[in-house]
Amino acid sequence: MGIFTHRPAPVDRVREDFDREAWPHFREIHRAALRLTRRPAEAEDLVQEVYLQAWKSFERFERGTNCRAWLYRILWNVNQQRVRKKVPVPLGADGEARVAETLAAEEPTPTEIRDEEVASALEALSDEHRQILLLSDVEEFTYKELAAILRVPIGTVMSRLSRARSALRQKVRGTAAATALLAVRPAVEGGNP
Amino acid sequence: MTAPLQLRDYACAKVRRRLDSYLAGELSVDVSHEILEHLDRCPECRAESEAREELRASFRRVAGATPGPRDGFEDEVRALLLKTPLERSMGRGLLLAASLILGAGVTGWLVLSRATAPEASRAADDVAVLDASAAEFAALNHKNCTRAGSWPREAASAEAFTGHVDAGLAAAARAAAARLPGYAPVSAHECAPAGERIFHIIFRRPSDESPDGLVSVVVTRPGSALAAHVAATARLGASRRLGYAVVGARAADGKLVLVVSSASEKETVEMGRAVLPALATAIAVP
Repeated sequence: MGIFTHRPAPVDRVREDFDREAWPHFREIHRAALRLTRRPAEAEDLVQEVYLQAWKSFERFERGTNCRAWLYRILWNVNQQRVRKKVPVPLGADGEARVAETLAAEEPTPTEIRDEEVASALEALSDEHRQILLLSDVEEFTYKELAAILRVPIGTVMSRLSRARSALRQKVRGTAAATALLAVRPAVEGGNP
Repeated sequence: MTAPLQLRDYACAKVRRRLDSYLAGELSVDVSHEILEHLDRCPECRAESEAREELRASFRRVAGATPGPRDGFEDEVRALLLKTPLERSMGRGLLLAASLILGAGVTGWLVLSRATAPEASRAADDVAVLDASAAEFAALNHKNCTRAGSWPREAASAEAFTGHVDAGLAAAARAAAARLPGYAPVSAHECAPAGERIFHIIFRRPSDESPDGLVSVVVTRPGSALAAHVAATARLGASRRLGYAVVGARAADGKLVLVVSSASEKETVEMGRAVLPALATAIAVP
């Protein structure tokens, strides 16, 4: 900006940076917010707050680093505040550690599952499990990025993720079993004279 | 469903524990290779791996099928951010002081134009650096207003506005229309995007019925927050907002005049050069 270069940078320069770094992720952040809240109006509030906070504090964002992960961290923080206002979410350290031994004894995963069954299972998951699965398997963040977003150690990310995947399978098993039961019942009744 | 797992084998238990991480590609090459070898010779674990992979794909389909934001929501957030100050400690005052010195003799124009990156493209050597806030404001207003209205294909002459809209606005429409051959005014109105009351004149290129054929001329009031901000950065340069080319200038009386179009950078600059000086004298903005 020539002779008018100062620190901090002029607002228009910051706006250009914000335009380049943050706006391209808007739709994705909105989708993530909708997945987290499951309610369009709440998702909009969440996204608006995320972008408001991101803009206000954008000068603290280190240019050239991962803006997408930075926005998710804000999303996560804002969402946690929102959730805390509603119901306290127990984040048990005990629960994190219990995972490994339960996994080995797990029942097999059902095959030929339908997307509707998976959708029901996803709805039945706890917020904690659903959120980390979305961040990991849909948004495809690495362990390291997840640790930064969730502000927990990498070990916690790994164990929480294992627990969440296991919980999803368990819910799918339950849904698939219920579906199978419903499908079988009329045939059984029909077989009786 | 796969057969119930008899975890007789320690190797199976070990593989199952790492199977999710393996499927997510989170393991090292060595460990992945070990698991792959095990899956090759163990049908139970292979079936479980396939079932989990299927579940993972289904989960991604289900969770990924989330609808996008409703139309206009992004613009609402953009408008909100436009009014929101940055959290910062210093610099603004110095910038404003500098602009006063620079702006004292400025009756010329700040030309803002379309570019993929501000530094990457210039319409001409004398084309200025865009004030990003002003460009965003104008582009956003153009986008919202042109999308919201169904503007007539065949526009009336600019004289048609006389008596229907504010006299200053009608004069502005006439002045601009006289200098934009091939374009005809389709609307002249006042609107208030982001709380800033402006005059907005919309032109259409008669041969083009798509939204791309619309051009906006936006005039702020003298002394508006936005105009003051442009004075602070009134230097040559370029920028692009929301896919539109924006050409703008700050008149001597302090009002800000901006032209927004989907045309090329060069064309928009030409339109700006034709229209802006005429508007500077034609409009008596209250």
